[in-house]
Amino acid sequence: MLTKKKTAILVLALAMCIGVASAALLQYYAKIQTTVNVTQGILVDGHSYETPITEEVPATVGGGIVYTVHTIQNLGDKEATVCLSWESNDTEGINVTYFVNQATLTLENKAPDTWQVIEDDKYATLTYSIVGNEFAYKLEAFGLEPNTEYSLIYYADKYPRFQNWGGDNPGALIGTATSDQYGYIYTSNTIDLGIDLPNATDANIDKYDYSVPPDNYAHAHGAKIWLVPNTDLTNGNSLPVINWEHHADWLYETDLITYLDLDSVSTHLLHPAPEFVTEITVPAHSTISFAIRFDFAENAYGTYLVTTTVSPPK
Amino acid sequence: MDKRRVLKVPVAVLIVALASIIAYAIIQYYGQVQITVPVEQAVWVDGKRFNETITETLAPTYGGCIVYANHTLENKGDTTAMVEFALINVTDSHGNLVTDGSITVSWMVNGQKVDKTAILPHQTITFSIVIEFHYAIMPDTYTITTQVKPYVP
Repeated sequence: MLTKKKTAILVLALAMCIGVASAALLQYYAKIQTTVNVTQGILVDGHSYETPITEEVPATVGGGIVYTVHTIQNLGDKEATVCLSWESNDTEGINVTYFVNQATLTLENKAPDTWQVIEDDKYATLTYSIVGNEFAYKLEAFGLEPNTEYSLIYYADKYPRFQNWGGDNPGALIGTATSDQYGYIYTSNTIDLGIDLPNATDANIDKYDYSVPPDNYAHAHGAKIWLVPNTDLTNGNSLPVINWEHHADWLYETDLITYLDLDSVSTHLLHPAPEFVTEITVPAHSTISFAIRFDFAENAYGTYLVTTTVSPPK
Repeated sequence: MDKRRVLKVPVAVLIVALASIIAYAIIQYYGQVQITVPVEQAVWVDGKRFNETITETLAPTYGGCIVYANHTLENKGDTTAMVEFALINVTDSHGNLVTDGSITVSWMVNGQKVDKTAILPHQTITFSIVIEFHYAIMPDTYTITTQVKPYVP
């Protein structure tokens, strides 16, 4: 009798289970498996983390300063911050610092009688590298003469500068570009200048003080950068400047800059003083140049092996 | 009076009364109809049923990038369907679970990030699985498994 009752309960439970199962609700509509191959998004000098970058810098002396230049490329869709750190086989007599190898200069038209900036819509912004084997620059200019060829020049003064004009001491043609129908220019390039800015012969390296009126620049010494029509240059493409008729329309420096050419023996005048950093933020799909500066103590000697690590923030 | 005749009379009355009760009973139903309806899944993803896992391989990308996997959701039903999106897991090429936050998964409908959405009757909408890779992620091949589920408030 008891066995029959148990069997009946079992059958009932089974029947209920089948009933529930047949009317069950779906727990999900779909399952999606997505596979993605991901490669390194931050590259240093175009290399992945698996490829160490090795370099040997020219020999220097105790008290010397040496620079090397590298790039950080962000291939990702968002800005990325990287950290810079170093270690050396000998940490005595050496200090290593890093800075973003980029500075900005505004070029303006000026009143010929006072040399004061004319506040209007004619100006240019020059972004340039501070140190390197090649001078890298981006130029964006507004309010120029439409459809006109312009040259970006390094204007190096002779001494005395108001008697010896032309800017070819030695000066340099940095690049050329043609304005569009709106008088706008955007151009970027790199050029091996083969000299520092300012060059050692340039009178603006030490003969004049531009930090006082009428200029009141942030820096007393350095190199002048101008944007002038090609027609005002010798043969339309080189210094000296020969035609001053339109100089009221030229764009002049608003400060004096420096650039260290790592291939040349330089004076190592460098300003504005680089802002040393231990972190660099690279915008999405951008490349930033950074410099490593090695400062050796006067009593430093021997061979230093310095390892810089570029890493994600911890 | 014969004693047997006396007994037969009540028995006969009882039989007649019983017959009357049966004759006057109300009919409980006129007929019985058994209906069998095969019911298909109401919400279909990429035109597939729930037991057909959708697999896809996206184009190679870089750390720091955001990639999108686009899919369709079709509501074959006569009422609005609410669905929710769920991340099941993320694994690397060795099958290890990735739980360090280096991969973020979200869903997008009409340009808006959502975790659930409504599909009107007999409508098809598109949605994207948005996969964000941290810029410092270890280069590898990653598999992200997600589900589209009924949403029950």
